[in-house]
Amino acid sequence: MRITIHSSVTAGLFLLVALSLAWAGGSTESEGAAVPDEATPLAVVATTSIVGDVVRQVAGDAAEVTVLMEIGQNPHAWEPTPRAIGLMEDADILFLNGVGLEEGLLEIIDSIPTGQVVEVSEGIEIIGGDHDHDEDHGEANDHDHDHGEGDDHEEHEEHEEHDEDHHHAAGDPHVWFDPNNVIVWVDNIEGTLVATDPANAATYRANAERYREELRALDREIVEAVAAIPPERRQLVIDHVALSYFARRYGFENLGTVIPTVTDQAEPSPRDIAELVEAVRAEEISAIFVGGTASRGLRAMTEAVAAEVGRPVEVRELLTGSLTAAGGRGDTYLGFVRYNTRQIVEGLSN
Amino acid sequence: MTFNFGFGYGGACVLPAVPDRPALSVDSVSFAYPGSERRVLDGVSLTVRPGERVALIGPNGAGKSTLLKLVLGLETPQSGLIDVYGHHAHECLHRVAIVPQRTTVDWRFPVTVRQVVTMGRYVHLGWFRRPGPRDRECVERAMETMEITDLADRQIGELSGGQQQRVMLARTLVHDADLLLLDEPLNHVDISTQELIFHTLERLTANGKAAIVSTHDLGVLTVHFSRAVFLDRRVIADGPVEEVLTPETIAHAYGFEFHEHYVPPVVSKGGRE
Amino acid sequence: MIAWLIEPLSYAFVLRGLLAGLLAAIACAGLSAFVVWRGMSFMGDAMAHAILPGIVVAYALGISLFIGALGAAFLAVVGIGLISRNGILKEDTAIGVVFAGFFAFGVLLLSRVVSFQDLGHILFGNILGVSNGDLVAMVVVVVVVLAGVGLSFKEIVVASFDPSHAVAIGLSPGLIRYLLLTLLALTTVVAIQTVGVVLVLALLVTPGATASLLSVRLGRTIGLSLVLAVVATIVGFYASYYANVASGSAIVLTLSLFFAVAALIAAVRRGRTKPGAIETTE
Repeated sequence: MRITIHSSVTAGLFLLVALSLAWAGGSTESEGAAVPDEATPLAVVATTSIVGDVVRQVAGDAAEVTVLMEIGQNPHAWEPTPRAIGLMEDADILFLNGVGLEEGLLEIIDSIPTGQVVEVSEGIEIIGGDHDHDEDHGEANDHDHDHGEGDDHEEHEEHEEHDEDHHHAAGDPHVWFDPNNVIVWVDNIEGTLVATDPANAATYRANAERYREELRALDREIVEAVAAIPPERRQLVIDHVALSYFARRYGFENLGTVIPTVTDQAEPSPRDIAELVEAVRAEEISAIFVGGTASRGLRAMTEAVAAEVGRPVEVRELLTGSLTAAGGRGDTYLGFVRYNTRQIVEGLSN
Repeated sequence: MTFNFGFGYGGACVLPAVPDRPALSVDSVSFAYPGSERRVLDGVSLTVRPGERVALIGPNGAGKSTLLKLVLGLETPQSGLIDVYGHHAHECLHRVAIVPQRTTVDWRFPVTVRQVVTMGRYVHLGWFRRPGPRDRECVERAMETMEITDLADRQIGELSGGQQQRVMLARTLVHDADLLLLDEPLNHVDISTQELIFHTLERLTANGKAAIVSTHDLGVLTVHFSRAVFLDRRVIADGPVEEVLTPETIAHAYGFEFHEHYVPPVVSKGGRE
Repeated sequence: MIAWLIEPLSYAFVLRGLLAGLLAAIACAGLSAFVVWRGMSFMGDAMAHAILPGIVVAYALGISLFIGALGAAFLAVVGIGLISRNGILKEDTAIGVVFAGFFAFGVLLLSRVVSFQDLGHILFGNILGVSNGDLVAMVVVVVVVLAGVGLSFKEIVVASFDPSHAVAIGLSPGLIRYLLLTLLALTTVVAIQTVGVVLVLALLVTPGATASLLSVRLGRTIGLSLVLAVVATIVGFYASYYANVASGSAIVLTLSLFFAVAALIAAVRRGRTKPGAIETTE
């Protein structure tokens, strides 16, 4: 019996590739750059959707704000596309979270001919380095982490790039989990906008003042909400070290993490996980958390930890590196924080 | 592009030989390799009867190996027919076996002599059946015939050229084919192996098998063959060895030009002229 | 000592990881001798890389990643076959072209699927993230591979040793080749989970290569490959647990170590054998 394979298979393959490329070439979240015009509003670019939301709150309609990262994008893992770089170049101001969050920008930021580059986290008291969270760890911190700053990246490096010297700036970048830090953001953003676009200064100041008020209210809200959790159960376990600022502000302890670093682009070792499991077993935690932008593998590992503990432990999702899509439960920064607070309170007070 | 699903493999052949048909009938076969315009074989016709031993001679590139491949069904001719014992080539594979040119085999493959000879039985076994006592006996006898019993557990690459050739022939013996094809079996082979090969061929053809041997070696032709076919894309000559082997064909076979006015030297006794 | 062995296994995720490692190693070792002796190393490497777009597409469509990976592997094999069919380009070249193209396609798709961030795990394995469902699939694959090789052993050997003899007896070397490629695809998809795309090649090649240095009989070579792979997996896995290093790499390095030792043994053996020891009966 003989069979002839036609060139229709070849044609089919090419068609498949063409269709996939067409699908892949979908739109990004970013809108196009502003068309040059006489009365052009300020062109402002923000890296994460969280930074973007806060910038928009301050800028209002007076500036055109574009967010580079898509909804759901993990900021640690984000690599700017040529289009994103183009947007950064054309912008008048680029707002970054800073503190090494945007790992994909670290090496190239200096070579992009951008306008102003502003790290909105400037001036915040940074919880520094991978080791500063030691004081918040309970028994889980017996592991000898000899990580330098670059170590955790070596195990992971993207195959086709091999950036051996991929380092991140000292410090924990997850400042936005404490609304008081975002107040500092607002100050920085306001200052920059006013200096760059004095014509709209009044708008910026008014927006900033209003938003700062909302942030302070939010802070009070959280204090009240977490009071429902008994002090001995104020222990946080999450996929990577993201909640240090929240813990510091609201009186929680960072019991441990699946990945023991402030970046989630690292591989946990079996012993790290085993020790985390022991830590969770020893305490009376009823819930552990996983970030919305965590990878599938990390999510699976977090769930494996919960399953391993031996008594029912919930895995609750928190929003971490990104807002949700419009209409979702965390499509603004305020919503983001409220959602997370609710998750933590409900999870830990059961 | 064609793909053979191998349904012809294995099991006892159910097609009996058609009576009174020749062992091999090649009828006006033409063949060019896919992608090439040059015909390697052009209108070749040839008949071999059971009991015959035929030498296939010709220059390099004449199509001798190609013809053997076609008989086996390794390739399909663009035109013409090939019948083996009355059935189309490739229909009944038990009847045809080839002793290949050395280069088609991976000699470093980690198999022993006994394992290679046993492979000749697979044509009777097919999928999922393991060789049984009868097969093993067949293998031992064939190894004895080819005088390689003492090499049975050696890795095939450790053997000399002549020994390897005997192994291939032993494999063919257990195949128990009726038509044997030998492609340049005498290359790099020592005299005693050559003798063994011809002795075995004689015995086989005396028992009614047929054999086609492609060779460059003109020396053996007169001794071991009664019939020769001279092939150079077409059949140039086909008949008794003495008729086929003229100075012209010899020259042609070796790629020399034949000079019509060539006068053979006269050797005279006595002094110089 | 016993406690030291048992302690890691008291965690279910570690136990699953070890089992996954063993299953992947067994499947790969079963094919390793053929990969080595048929020169399929490059194909194996290519298949591992070609799987990437399949995984991403499957993830985007919400279907089983296993199926997506297999689909991509088969497409790659078909593509390679098509390109090298007419003999103008060698299979080596065809493999290179398809391998790189598929992988690049995968990376491109990955950059569009924002929520999929597992490139690191795909490249280097995620042995600790193996689920029970994954284990079941792996067991099935191992059974299929071992059965496939076991049942077709003599056919594979014939087709590898002397393809024209295979054809002469009606056995299509092409069929055997596609059978091996199918088993290779299944094995690769399974092994990617434990050692990742980049290191699958090591699991496919090193056991067979090591065993071939020590044995000249195919059956023993395969048996030895299996033993080496299992031992290396256990040693490597425990080493990664206690030394806090990546499991996949530890397993592969252990295999490489075994190879070095075997090479030494083989060299010593060769030195001890008198030159020209091949006997002739002439």
